[in-house]
Amino acid sequence: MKAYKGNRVFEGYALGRLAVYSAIKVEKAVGLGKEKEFERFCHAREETVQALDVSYAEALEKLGEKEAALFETHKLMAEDLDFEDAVNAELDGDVTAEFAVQSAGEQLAEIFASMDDAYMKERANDVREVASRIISFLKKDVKGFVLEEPSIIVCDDLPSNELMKIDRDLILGIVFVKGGTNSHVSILTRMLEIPSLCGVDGMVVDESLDGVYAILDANKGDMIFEPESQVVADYTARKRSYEEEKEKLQAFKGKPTLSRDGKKTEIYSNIASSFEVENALKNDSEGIGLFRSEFLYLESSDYPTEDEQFEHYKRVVEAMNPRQVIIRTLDIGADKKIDYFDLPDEENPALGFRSIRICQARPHIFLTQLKALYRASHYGNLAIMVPMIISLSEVDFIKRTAAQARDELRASGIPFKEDVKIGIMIETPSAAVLSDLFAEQVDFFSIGTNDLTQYTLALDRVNPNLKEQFDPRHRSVTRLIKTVADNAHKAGIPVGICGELARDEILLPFFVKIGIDELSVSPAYTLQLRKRISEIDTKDVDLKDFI
Amino acid sequence: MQQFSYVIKDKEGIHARPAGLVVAQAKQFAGSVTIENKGKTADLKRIIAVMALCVKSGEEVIVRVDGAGEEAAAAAIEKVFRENL
Repeated sequence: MKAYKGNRVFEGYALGRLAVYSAIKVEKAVGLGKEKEFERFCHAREETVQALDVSYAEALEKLGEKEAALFETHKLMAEDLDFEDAVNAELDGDVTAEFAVQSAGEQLAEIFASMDDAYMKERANDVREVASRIISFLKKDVKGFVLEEPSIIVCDDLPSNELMKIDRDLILGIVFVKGGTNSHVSILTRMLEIPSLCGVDGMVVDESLDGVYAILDANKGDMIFEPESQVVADYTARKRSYEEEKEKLQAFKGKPTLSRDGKKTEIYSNIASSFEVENALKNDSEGIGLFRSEFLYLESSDYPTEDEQFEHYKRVVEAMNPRQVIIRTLDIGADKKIDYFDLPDEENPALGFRSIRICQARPHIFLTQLKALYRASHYGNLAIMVPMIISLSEVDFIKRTAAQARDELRASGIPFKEDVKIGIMIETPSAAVLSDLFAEQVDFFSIGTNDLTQYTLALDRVNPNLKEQFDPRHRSVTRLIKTVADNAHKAGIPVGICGELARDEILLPFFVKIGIDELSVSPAYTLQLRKRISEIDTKDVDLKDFI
Repeated sequence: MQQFSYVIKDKEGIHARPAGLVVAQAKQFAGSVTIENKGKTADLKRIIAVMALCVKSGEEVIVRVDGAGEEAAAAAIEKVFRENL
């Protein structure tokens, strides 16, 4: 029995025989002359580019635009003139095109491999992947990698196009002995949910491993060769209970979120960019409870235009349709500063010029965002949520600006929904105390528990010395939450919670009991939360324990 | 000649995906396009050279565009930088 340690790429267990993947290795050989070999290279490169177009289209469909874009980058690498120059220089030595491509690929990969930046180091593999694609077109007679039975793939690294060619059902796990956790193929592996490790110290990949029985424990990062029968039995049991647990969660997919006594809650997702919407869908989220629009502002060097914003909002709204997408308007200031806003330094940023306060002082910024939101509303079920509210006059301002946005769109003949729901975040004691009045003015509430705790307890949430005292379960906070929920329901509007507290194990029964309509959490927790709620009987929950 | 400077906002610097987008845009232009960072210059149409500059977040790059239609080309390339980096 031999064991190795590696880094986790994706969790899970695999028990089975190893299948060794090794890249085609080309031996140095004399070619048909420079001109002829260059022509062969050009032809293979042409075929590679076409194949990359196909991979791009496949990836676009299976994985989305962000992952697919890497195949475009590979295409540019295949066509890169430095790469061509390097191949040409190699061909001067009268070698075959295969060998020239392999050497040129190695030379350019070396540039990246020698960098001190971890991300750039891993780009060496992109260059090697492109070179090996070209070589595979030059050596058509060589049979590609084929799995005949379910196996654990062992390789130094695996080109992502090779991974996409293999039947997912035959892959028990993958060990990338030399790969990194950020490589393209690692990202694909996570999306395909394959138990896998990378960067395995001391392990050498060679043909002798082919067919060897092994255990892959990606949860702990262990790789065990030829285990004794007792170990196999032990891991078989672990794998079973792990999978049963996972399977149990799967049973909650496509189901409504109900407590044991039938009280309904909805599990929504918090996302910070339009790309995360795939995760929300994969985890069967019932909607987006908090789409932080700040990222559009943070990632930009100037105010994002109405069109840019519209495109992002539309993408999320369309993907989630008919499910609801609650988009939070600009929430910057305090700890989130952006250069081009040119905000003054403040003594007390948490109590300072932020969010709606900036919007009121600079209404054109807010108007642009509202117009983009209304335009996107045409494509699905969009709701607008405004943070940091303390006064009813702010709600008047929001409504006035929203009416102006609608008027301007109408005048330009741009389609939008007239009745987009407008809600506010309850994250200040003021908003909670006045929630009966706010409930008559807005369409929904969403409680932001981090700020509500900070402002209620007068405790700075980012001060490390106050970490112990920062208690979102403090009765002053839970009492406010109860007040807000009661006032919302009296007025007939829904109330959600979008802070991380939404998945707090201790408070969950309390939230369900007081009828919180929607809990919004990171997509990965959706099914867990649904399962936990199904185990709660609100008749057993005593509110006195919480407030 | 047209030129513009840009400070990279993306946390990862000029990484593979946006590098691809920028190079693809540069290749649409017939004239010459270069990118300068930390005193080194690379052809913006050559992706490996661009990535090999290893431009990190917060660093400034200067892009120079030279040839017929350089104004429109510079604007288009700058737009790709703004939207993706």
